[in-house]
Amino acid sequence: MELKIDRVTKNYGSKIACDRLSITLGKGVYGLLGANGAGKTTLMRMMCGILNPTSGTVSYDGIDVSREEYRDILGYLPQDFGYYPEFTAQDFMMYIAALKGIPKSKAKAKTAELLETVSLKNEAKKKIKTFSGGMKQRLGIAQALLNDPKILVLDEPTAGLDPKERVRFRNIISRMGADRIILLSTHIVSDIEHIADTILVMKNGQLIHEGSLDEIIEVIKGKVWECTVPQKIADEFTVKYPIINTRNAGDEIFLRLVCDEKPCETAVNAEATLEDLYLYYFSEEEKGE
Amino acid sequence: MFFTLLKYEFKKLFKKKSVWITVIISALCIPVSLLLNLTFYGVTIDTVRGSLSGRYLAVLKADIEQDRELSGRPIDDDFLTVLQEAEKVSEIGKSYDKNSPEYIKYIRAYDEANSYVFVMNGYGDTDGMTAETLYRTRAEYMEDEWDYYLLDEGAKQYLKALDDKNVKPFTYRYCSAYRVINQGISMGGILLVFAAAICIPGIFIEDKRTRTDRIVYSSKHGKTLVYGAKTTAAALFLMADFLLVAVMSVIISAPFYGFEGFDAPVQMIDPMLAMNFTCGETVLILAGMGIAEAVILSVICMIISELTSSGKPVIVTMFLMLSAGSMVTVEPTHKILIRLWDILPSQIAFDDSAFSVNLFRCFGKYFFAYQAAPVIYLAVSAVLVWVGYTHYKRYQTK
Repeated sequence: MELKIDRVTKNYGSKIACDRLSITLGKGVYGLLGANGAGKTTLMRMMCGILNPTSGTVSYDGIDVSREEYRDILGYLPQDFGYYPEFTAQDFMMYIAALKGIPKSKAKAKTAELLETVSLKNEAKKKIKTFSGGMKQRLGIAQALLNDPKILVLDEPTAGLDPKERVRFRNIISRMGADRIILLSTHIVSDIEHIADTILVMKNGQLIHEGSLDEIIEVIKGKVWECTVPQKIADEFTVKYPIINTRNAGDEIFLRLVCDEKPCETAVNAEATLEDLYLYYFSEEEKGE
Repeated sequence: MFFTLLKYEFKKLFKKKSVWITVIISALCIPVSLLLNLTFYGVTIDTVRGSLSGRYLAVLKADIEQDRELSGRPIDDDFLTVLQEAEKVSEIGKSYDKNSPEYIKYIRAYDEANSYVFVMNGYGDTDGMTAETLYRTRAEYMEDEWDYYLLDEGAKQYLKALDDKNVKPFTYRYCSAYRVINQGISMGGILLVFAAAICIPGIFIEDKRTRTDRIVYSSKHGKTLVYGAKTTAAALFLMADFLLVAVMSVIISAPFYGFEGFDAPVQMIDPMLAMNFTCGETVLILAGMGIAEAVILSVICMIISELTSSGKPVIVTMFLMLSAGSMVTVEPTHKILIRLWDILPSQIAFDDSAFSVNLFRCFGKYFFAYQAAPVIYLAVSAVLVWVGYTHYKRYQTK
């Protein structure tokens, strides 16, 4: 079981969305981290065969992404997608099952099972146009799982889900990761922290880090600081360093920040987290947006 | 799996109000137009009495009765004498009360048969006409038409040979139902163009517009069977829409006109035609043309929707096709164009086009538009479906 992305490049005119990206994914849950515009969605679309790379190939055990056999083992939850508003949740699932080539009797059972999994069993006969954003997202997750995919690509799967639903989703994905390849991207760093076996960090269309949580965090170990400083200093630090957290502490301001060297005498080294890493890498991009 | 996907394409299609409105209009168009026709049938405004109530259906009934009375009689000198005598005594009718059966009987004076003979006589005066003159005039009129359309000698001989097979003198037959049904079918052909413009683009662009394309195209059958299901759904929908109009024509006309005349020669509908088939066969041929039109229109709408990802170019194309077919007259000197005009999808369900004398010549044989159109449509459809497929499977999300 090997998903191979080989020197994949995608250009939009002069803009490079994905730059000669190569990686081989085996079984497990992969968390794709990157700022908006880093190329995550472009990469995922190319992995799902709905966007052709300018160059390079994507294949699963030698089966090219353009082939029907590849799509047969693929489950995809797009970041931004629509529904048929007049369809009920059940209709929608049955239609997607037909698209995936699942026989009717099996599709019916699978639909019931998945709607229960995503807590939409009681809404199965309701029209999708009556659903909230979170319910639609759960339905989207359910459709991606219909064919028990060997490759599961989830683009921002937890967007719109409340904390309880997110935990439920994380548990589902963690269980599934044992015997398939799951790639998920999200801005909610804690989701990746909890479920990803391997974290992939993308920046400017390139993969800049790949490894387990501990390996990834190693990059900023010793660079995360906490300090309590007067407002004036806090303002200076805000301009100078990526600030992870800030809160009032009496007349002064408590800061958690990332920098290569100790920012002030009172600063103490803190244990690094994935969120620290994310902000360390992407604070400039996030500011730009 | 194909049929399941097809079912869902129909399900998506019929979730749209515009589709239901189109279907309802198609279903009601013929009954409404027939009722309007009946409402005004035979109306001569009575300025003195001011009342016309109860006259319309009575006039229709009188015409049908008179037509049935003449049905089965050869169109010979005796037949013409009957018509001419009736015409002479029609003045008598004016002395009767305008709501009386006598008035209608005399005043109509075998109106249908008189009209028929008038057309057969090349739209010339039939007063004092003998059968010999009538058939000679018809033959001359037909030859003049062939000359006007610059037919080659082979085509003329072919048409003449066909006409020679028709038994003369013709036997007058009551076949009004088939005239009415043919008109309904022709109207169905026009309604199809509207239905295609309104309903078909949605089948092909909705997924892109609603961003469901991402899920559809990344699924196993999303790039193959779905295209087939969409193309088939478009064709079947238009076929069903056309058949709805055709069936409504039959259902609505039957109580008024009956079904007599199925085996009457086609010359009872148009005396200037040279073909050898019956009125019933004419209906079946035109219905076949309507189905062929449904197929080609669905494919044209599919390819435009696919290539432009928009419904507007489809509407413009359909409007131009309708306008061109109904408003532009092609000169006979443009031999290819005039034939293309006959097989224009919006025109092919009209008897003028389907049975036009502008024959198609292929491998030394001659074919009418109704024979050539299905073959041409099939070939064009096959090419367009292939082009559409190659475009469809290469589609990339934006």
